[in-house]
Amino acid sequence: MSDPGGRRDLNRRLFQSWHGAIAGAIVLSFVGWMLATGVPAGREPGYDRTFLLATGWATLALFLVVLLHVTRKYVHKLGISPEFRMRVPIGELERAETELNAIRRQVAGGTLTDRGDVLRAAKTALRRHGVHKILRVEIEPGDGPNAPAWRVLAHPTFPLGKMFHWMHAHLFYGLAAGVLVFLHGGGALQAGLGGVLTVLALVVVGSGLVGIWFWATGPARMTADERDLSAEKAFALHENLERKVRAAYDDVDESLRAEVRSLEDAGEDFAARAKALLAKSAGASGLTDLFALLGQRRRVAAELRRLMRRRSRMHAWRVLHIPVAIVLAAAVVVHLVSVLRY
Amino acid sequence: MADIPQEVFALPLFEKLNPKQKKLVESEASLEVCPADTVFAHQSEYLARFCVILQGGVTMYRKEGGETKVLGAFGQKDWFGELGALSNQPEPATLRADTRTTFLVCEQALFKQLYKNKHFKGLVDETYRRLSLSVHLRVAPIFKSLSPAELRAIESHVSMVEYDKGRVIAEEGGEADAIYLVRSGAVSCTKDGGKSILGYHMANSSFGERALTGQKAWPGTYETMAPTAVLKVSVSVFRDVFAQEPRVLDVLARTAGFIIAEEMGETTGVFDIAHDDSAFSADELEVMVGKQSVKGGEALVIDMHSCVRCNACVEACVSVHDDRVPRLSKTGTRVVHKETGHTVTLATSCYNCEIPECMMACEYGAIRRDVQGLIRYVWDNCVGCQMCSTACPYGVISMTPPPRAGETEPSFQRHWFLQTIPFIGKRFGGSHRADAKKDEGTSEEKAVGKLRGVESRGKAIKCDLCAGLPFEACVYNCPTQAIVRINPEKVLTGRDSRGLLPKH
Ligand code: SF4
Ligand code: SF4
Ligand code: SF4
Repeated sequence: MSDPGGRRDLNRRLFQSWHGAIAGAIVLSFVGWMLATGVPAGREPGYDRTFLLATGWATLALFLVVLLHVTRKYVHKLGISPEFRMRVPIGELERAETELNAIRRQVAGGTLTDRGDVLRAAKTALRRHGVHKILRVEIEPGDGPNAPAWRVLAHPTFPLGKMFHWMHAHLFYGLAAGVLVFLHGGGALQAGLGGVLTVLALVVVGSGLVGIWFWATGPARMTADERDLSAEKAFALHENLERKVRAAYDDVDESLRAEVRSLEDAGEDFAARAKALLAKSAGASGLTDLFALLGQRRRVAAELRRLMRRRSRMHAWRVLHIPVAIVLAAAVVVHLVSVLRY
Repeated sequence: MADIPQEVFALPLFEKLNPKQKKLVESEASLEVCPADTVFAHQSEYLARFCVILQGGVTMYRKEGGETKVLGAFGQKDWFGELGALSNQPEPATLRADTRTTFLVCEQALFKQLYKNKHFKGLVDETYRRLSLSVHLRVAPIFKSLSPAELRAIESHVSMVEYDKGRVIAEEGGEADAIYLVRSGAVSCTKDGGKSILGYHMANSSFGERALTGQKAWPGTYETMAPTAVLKVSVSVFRDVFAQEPRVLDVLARTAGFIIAEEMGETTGVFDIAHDDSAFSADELEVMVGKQSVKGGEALVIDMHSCVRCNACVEACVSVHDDRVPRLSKTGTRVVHKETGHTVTLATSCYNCEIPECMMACEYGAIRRDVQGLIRYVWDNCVGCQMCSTACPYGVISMTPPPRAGETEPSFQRHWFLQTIPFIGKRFGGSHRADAKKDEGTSEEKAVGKLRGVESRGKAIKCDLCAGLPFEACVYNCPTQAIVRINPEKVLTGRDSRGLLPKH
């Protein structure tokens, strides 16, 4: 997997999660059930009602986990998720840290040696100042020959779990749900709600798979592409040149400005038209400088466009995934209501 | 890339370059044109490039304490930018083109290649000594306590010394007799025969201040990790030059005491020496240490092979700050693993430096180090003088527009429209602004800034680690765990538990 260009590097972090194992186990248990009892998928002749219900409810549960991730994301974005209410005054944070420092000194001085005692003392210090909800203590063995026996670390609690855990849950349970939809509906593209649900689920899972592929391979490709100039730097450079161009216009005779402006949107013929205008207005002050800057800006803008195109390609699958997922959610609700009522 | 005119190689600076270096100039240098009366480089801008004037001229001026001073002018064949290109220092002055001016621009990497040429280096160093040395000396905390006149007095006694990689500058236990300021390269300080590392010193980092106090023995062995250039001032110089001014000697000794106290704090977490099997080349090491990332506490590091460029980190940072200004930028230093090509970015975010230039530069008590070792703003004290943003070597401090009456420091956002809902709006966080007002700084601290009649150009902001919240929004919201806060030294040595730069 080692490629000095980095192009072939997979984004392994995207797959390293115990959610994958759980999702796999869920799918395997249903497949095992089918193999052991010989029940067919969906409503094929000889279908088993219990199997049908079990796959249906399991699919719904998996979809709900996926939905929970989406909810967590937007509730946090809106600033109304509960962890915002945990904010503590900085003064308390500092007083707690002072106490932790005293504990660290005791550890370094050898008066506090037992790991359990250190952990208890540190937890009490955080609780005393009401910061135990935002900070979590971790005790690590000392690092290096002269270091104290234990390192007392305080990390944020990340109460709802980091987004990447949720992302993993979304990814693996979403995939598992896709398989269960097949087992539940039998994969038949019949008319009616059942068929619509199958098609929608196929599109959502399919576009999700494309997304996984892009997210797995895209970062390394982008990195290799950006080796000379990252999109962020290109953007900053473009802004800078934009300022310089604006200043340079002031040095050009007013009668020429409109003509130069009309060249700004020129395509391939920019250089030729610029040359012609330069020749026509030989000696006009500031024009050469302005064209030099415009040329630089065009080159940076082209590079920026190229990089941004690549970036948007990496996220293009969402254009299909998100709206169809919303329709799927609505269709699932209709399906559920109809099943429960009739 | 523009065609470099051959006359360039007739300039005194370039005339003795070898053919390979000339080829490099032809392929790597660029020409830039600056129209008359426009600013080519702003004071405190982080450019790190070396420029030679081919045509035209520029005036150099510097803003200090609200006053603008003209420092001098550069004409055809003159050059500038060696301080930034060599030592990653922000531009010491603003440069404005007097007439239409054409520059030959050499980016840092090219400059470092040319600097290997003896003749080129000799000329550059001579200008550096004449124009930039006193500016550069002020980077070292010990020299900050000296007035410009006092600095000038010792300037002529400063020697510029260079070492190859692996050379010992000072031996553990030996007598500390000089203060060193690293210009480029990197120096490790190890003790117990190299078994443990006390720290790294890289561009703009100084050591040896203890020579001015009673503690005269070197605490460790100082050895260069890459070809290194240092400025050296013997302690006897201070005694001779300031023999008649015991006050200055006293201030120097007290400042040295403060620096040593900070060092003591630093060395409590002694870490194991980096092993030689680390797959980083000297150049990459230099990039990391050259920007003080190694020396700083923890930095935000982005694994570029996991980052899907969704921008959620920057958006999350925006969303937890009322002023809607991100403290995080995904630009920064990229470090590439030599063998695997695996790349990480040290994101532009506060490193909470062990020697925080921003704090040293602030005259209004608006920046302090808290007990967690983090650099914090006392928002009410900030008068918007921009001294901190000028001083920060990494350009991580930006300015917000001046706050409206009654507004306090940027606190954590609640959506404004939710706050407008009668009765329940407050539940969504309307009270957080009031909390922020309560939290920040004592009344004495606040009073300091208000007594000064300085025109505010906004407020300084930088990464506050989302203080007071149970998460760092950028790390919390990254969908791929690409961004983490970690000691870059661990990334460098492949010892981070998350395997950011795994030894494939
Ligand atoms: S603001 Fe800049 S100088 Fe200050 S601590 Fe942060 S990185 Fe260092
Ligand atoms: S830790 Fe908080 S303030 Fe700092 S860059 Fe991340 S989101 Fe922004
Ligand atoms: S949130 Fe993570 S994946 Fe997205 S841009 Fe930031 S570091 Fe990259």
